[in-house]
Amino acid sequence: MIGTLRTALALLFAAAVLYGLQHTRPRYSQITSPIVTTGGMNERVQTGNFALSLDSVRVARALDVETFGKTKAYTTPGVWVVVEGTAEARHETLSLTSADWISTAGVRYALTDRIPATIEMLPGDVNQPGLPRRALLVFEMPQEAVAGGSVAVTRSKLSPLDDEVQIAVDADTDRTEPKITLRRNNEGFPWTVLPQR
Amino acid sequence: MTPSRRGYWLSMAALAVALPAALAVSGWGSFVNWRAVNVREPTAAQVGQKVDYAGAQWTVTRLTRLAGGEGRAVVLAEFEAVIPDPKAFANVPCQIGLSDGEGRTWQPVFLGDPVVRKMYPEALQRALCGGPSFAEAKGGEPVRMAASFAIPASASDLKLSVALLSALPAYLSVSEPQP
Repeated sequence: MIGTLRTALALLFAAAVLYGLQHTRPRYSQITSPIVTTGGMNERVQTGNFALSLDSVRVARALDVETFGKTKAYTTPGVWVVVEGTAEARHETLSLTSADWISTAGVRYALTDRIPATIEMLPGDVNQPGLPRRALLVFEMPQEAVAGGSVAVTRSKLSPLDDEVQIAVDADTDRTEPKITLRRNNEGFPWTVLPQR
Repeated sequence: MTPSRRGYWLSMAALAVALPAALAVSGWGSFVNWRAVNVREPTAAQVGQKVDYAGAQWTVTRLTRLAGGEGRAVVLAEFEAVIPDPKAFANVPCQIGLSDGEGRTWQPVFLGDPVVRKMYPEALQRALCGGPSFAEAKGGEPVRMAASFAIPASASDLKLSVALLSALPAYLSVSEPQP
């Protein structure tokens, strides 16, 4: 009688453990998600493979892009967020092909694909070890996604367990500008954000 | 020992052998791939020295550092290969890299650097190492190639590496000439 009870209890216990394991098992995407290093504005955030710092963020209701003497206006029902910073490879030549804006609600906004490739953003840059390079990131998003948001940058979204930098961006939505202009420079520094601050 | 007990222990012993063997067999392919990517065996040479590598005769004719400004330098590498059997090389990928004493590695700058364009314009006429440049090889005539790298001016102990996929883990390693 006691033996039967003990067996039943052991089976119940095993079932409870298996149920617990089943419901707490992380998904494959969680197991292989990037290894995140966090930081703030004007701070060099360093991973094993690259370092990134962000020093400027501007929010505008409209965006003009000026390349080769021609200007094209880009409107949006939300806002444009233009982020500038410096990226550097640490050990080998690499490109940082993925950059997202993460809102406080957890929604990820990818870099805009609306502006022409002549304005070279971070994913198109080749970063050489020991040579810091200015980086440009432009996002389009609803106004409410700006406050408290952060920028996430990684080499590739597809590489499991790769390094990811997440930088909390102090975007001041009270200072939303009516319009900013991105100008492609033919010499020297590759772009200028106007009006200059 | 009863026959059933003997069978039990024999099975356990077989398991102890079979399990590691199964792991080794299933992991062998991964190990070979990992070794091909991560383990390299250099064939060392000097600038100007002819050296046999991957079935061709290679010579690095120039490995020079040019001033790039703002803490930056540009390294120009010019090299050539005499390929006895160009067809065998036509589809072989080639990796060119530059490394320094700190273990940092640089890949060639796409389309060459403006400093190279100004000082060695003829180098820009040369193709990067790889199938298309090998395909143009004509019996006995050297295929001329070039690559330029953007590096920090402070980088030292530079070594150029030329690696053909068909010859890995062996690769050609040429050190920067010391002044």
